[in-house]
This record gives sequence, C-alpha cells and structure tokens, in this order.
Amino acid sequence: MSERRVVITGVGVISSLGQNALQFWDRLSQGISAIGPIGSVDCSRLRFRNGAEVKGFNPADHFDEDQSRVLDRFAQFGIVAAREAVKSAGLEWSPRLCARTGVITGSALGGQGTEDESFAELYLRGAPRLHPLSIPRIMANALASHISMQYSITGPVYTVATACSSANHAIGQAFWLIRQGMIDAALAGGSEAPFSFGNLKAWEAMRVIAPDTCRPFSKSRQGMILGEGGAILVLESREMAISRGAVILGEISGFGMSSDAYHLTQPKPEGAAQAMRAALADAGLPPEKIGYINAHGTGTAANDACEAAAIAMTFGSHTDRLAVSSTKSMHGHALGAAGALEAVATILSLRNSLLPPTANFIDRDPLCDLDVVPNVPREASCEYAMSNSFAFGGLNATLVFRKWC
Amino acid sequence: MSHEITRTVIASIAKLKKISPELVRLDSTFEELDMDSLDGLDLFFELEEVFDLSISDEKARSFRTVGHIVEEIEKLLSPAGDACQSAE
Repeated sequence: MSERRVVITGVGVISSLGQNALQFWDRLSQGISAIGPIGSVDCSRLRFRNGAEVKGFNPADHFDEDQSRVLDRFAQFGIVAAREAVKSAGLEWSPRLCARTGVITGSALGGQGTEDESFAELYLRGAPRLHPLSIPRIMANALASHISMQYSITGPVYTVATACSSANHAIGQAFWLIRQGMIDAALAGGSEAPFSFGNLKAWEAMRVIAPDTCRPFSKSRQGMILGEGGAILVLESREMAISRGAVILGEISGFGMSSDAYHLTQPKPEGAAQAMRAALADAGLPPEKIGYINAHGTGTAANDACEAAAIAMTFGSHTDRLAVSSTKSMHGHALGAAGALEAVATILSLRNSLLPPTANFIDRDPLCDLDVVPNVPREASCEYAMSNSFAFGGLNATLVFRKWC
Repeated sequence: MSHEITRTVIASIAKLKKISPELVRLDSTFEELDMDSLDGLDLFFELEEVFDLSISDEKARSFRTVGHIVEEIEKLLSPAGDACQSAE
C-alpha cells in the first residue's frame, strides 16, 4: 500500500467571527475578537459573563422543521459547515466516491444543550416523559451520521471525543486513512455548542474561565473564554484533487498524538512536545521547517506556560524564529471544534501569507517567551505551519500543514 | 468564630488528603500538603457549600497557605462583609 499525499480542497466554518469561511478569515486576519457578553444564557448566577457565541444563527435559514427537530445546535453548526465545505470543494458524488469517502467528526460535549433542557423539564418541572428524539439529538456522533446521510457517504463514519483535542484527532485520522489508501476523501472537523446553563456552571466550578477576555500568553491572563461553532474540511488524495481539477487550498503533511499519562487537568510539557515531535516525524520534517504555530493557547495560566515550554523543548534554538499565535483570543475556545476552526485558520494563513495575531495581548510573560504576533496581523510567507490541540485528560494532537503552491 | 472556621477548614483539608488534622497548620502551604489544582477545586467547593458563600476565582488563585483561606472566609462572613462579595 503506497503512501499518498493528502490535500484540502474545501473548508466550511460557522463561528462567532462569522457564519462562513470568508467572514471567519476576514475578521481573523484583521485581529478582530468576537468575545463579548453571553446572550443565550442568563449569567446572573455565574462568575463570568463573556463568551464567543454564534450570534444571529437561525436554524430555519438552513433546515426545514423536520430536520430541525432531530438536530441539536452542535449538529446544526456541523452540517452548515459541511455544506459549505462540500460546495467549495466542488465535489460531485458518485456511488464509488460515496463508498470511498469517510466522515470523522469531533465533539467534546455532543448535544448537551438538548440534555440540559430535557433534564430541566424532567427534574424541575416534573415532566412525565422526554422527547423520543432526545437520544439521537444528544449522541456525539449525530453530526457524523447526519453528514453521512445527507451525502449518502458509506465509508468509515465515526466521531472522536477527546475533549479539546477532538477535532485534531478527527482530522488527523481522516488524513491517515486517505494517506494509507483506505479511502480517497473525507469530511473531517468538529462542532460544539457549549452555551447552556448547566455546562457553564460546570466550567465555572473548574475556575478556568476569565472574567474579562481571553489573553493568551499575556502575563495578566485570567483564563479561557468559551466559544461555539463548527468547521469541516474536505480532504482528498492529491491525485484525486488534481485529476478532477479541484482548487487545492493546502496540504496536510503530518499528524502526531500523545498522552501525558500524568494528570486530569494539569498539562505536562513533555506530553505536548511528544505530540509535536511525532507530527514532525510523520511529516518527515526537521523542526526548522516550521514557520508558524497556531497554538492551543487557551489563556489559562497552566496551558500557556506549558505550551511555551513544550515548544521550546521541541524546537530548541529555532523557537526564536517561530511565530506563534492563539486565535482563541478571537473565536474563543470551541472545545471539540477548536482544532477544526484552527485548522482552517492555519490553512488560510499559509494560503494568504498572513498570520492572524494573538488578540487582547497586554503584557509579556517570561514563562511564555515566544513571538506571539501580538495584536497586529503579520504578513509572512511560511511553507509549513503547525496547529496544536491539548485536552483535559492529558491528550495531545498536533497537525502539520503545508502551503500549496 | 475564627476558631470554628479554622477547625472546619483544617478538617476539610484533612478529610480531602486523608491525613490527620494535626498535620495541617495555618501556615501549611498547598505544596507541603501535597494539594494539586484539582484538590484546590474540591476544597473550595466543599467550603463554599459548608459556609454558603462564594470564593472568587481571583482569590482562589491567590491562596498559598491554609491561613489565607481562613482569612478570606472570615472576611466574607464578617458582618461588614458580604458572602457574595467575592463572587465578582
């Protein structure tokens, strides 16, 4: 079985920054942050007020009543992103392509909004029964299944739930399946809709949410800001893309994963470094080839210092020549969708030779001694870029992308 | 009151870490007690429940010793204080 190269020919995004990939990139590339007061949940009993919500999303613009009934918000986001990705890739479905295509999605929480609402009915208002579609709405694989049904895709279809690394794990596995020749194309990414009162209270108890905004790598950072949305990438073998005359947006060169095997919530630099090294090895690249890293960069004290240490361990003296930014400063931390949003951000950064900044940056932290592209976007032409995702539970996943030219 | 708060805080830590209360002093640091960040979250949750108050994230991050926690709870429970004051 020969190794093939894998390219990206379509992207779809719905996020707090915009409801398609163009809007997402337009704001991201200007360093505009979408973080603001949470409108969908009453925050009067919460210690934080801000989030990065998808404002003005109307399911009726995308789904008829029958479809909406079976879709939690997280799945709606994913389907909207998938439709955009498929359209932009210009895929024409044939029975053979449907059988040779996979769908791999990531979500940390699945349909927890439905769960929250349903259980409130049950526990608070004494509802005698729950809606019969509660389970199909809540299940984490709902998005993957709906995409499969929408396009009659019959290849490998499944969902990865590795908290904040879910989407990177999903994209990485789709990449490997295509590279190994097991499938020819895949829709891969993730989606998340974490804004429900129950979930926000659970995050409050973790004491990792900033009361103001997300300031990755700043000394005065106070934590992360939750975000929502979804992003889907169309991946296919280079041969298939070229033979059908597709526009190639970028290439996936490597994927690496590791586990800290250490602590549920405290990250360990050695674990993150192992994932980055594995991704470089998978891509067959020396560290010096990487020009930009889209960091996990959550804005928590623990993550950012750990990630900076891990980058230094991986890149050594080349660390000083790396540009590292966290786009979570603009679209928030979309948990299981984060890696997918950031994959699109990284691919478009390479394609446009423009690095999105770390927004909201105010003061340097000696523990995060990196060039974080503070506040202002930067023109820079890089051949290779890396995107990191690290999850609670110590699960790390890193992707390496190559500019297509 | 202060004695009662001290006793409760120490008892909570001793229970959490499965050690004798005699090993927990007001000047004991979290490091000395082998308390990691999750232990801290557990402890603040327990104390918020017991004393019916809310400890802000900023305060929670600033605690280094058992005494710091006792002082903050005293402040939040004092007549001039407000149990919700720390809740931002």
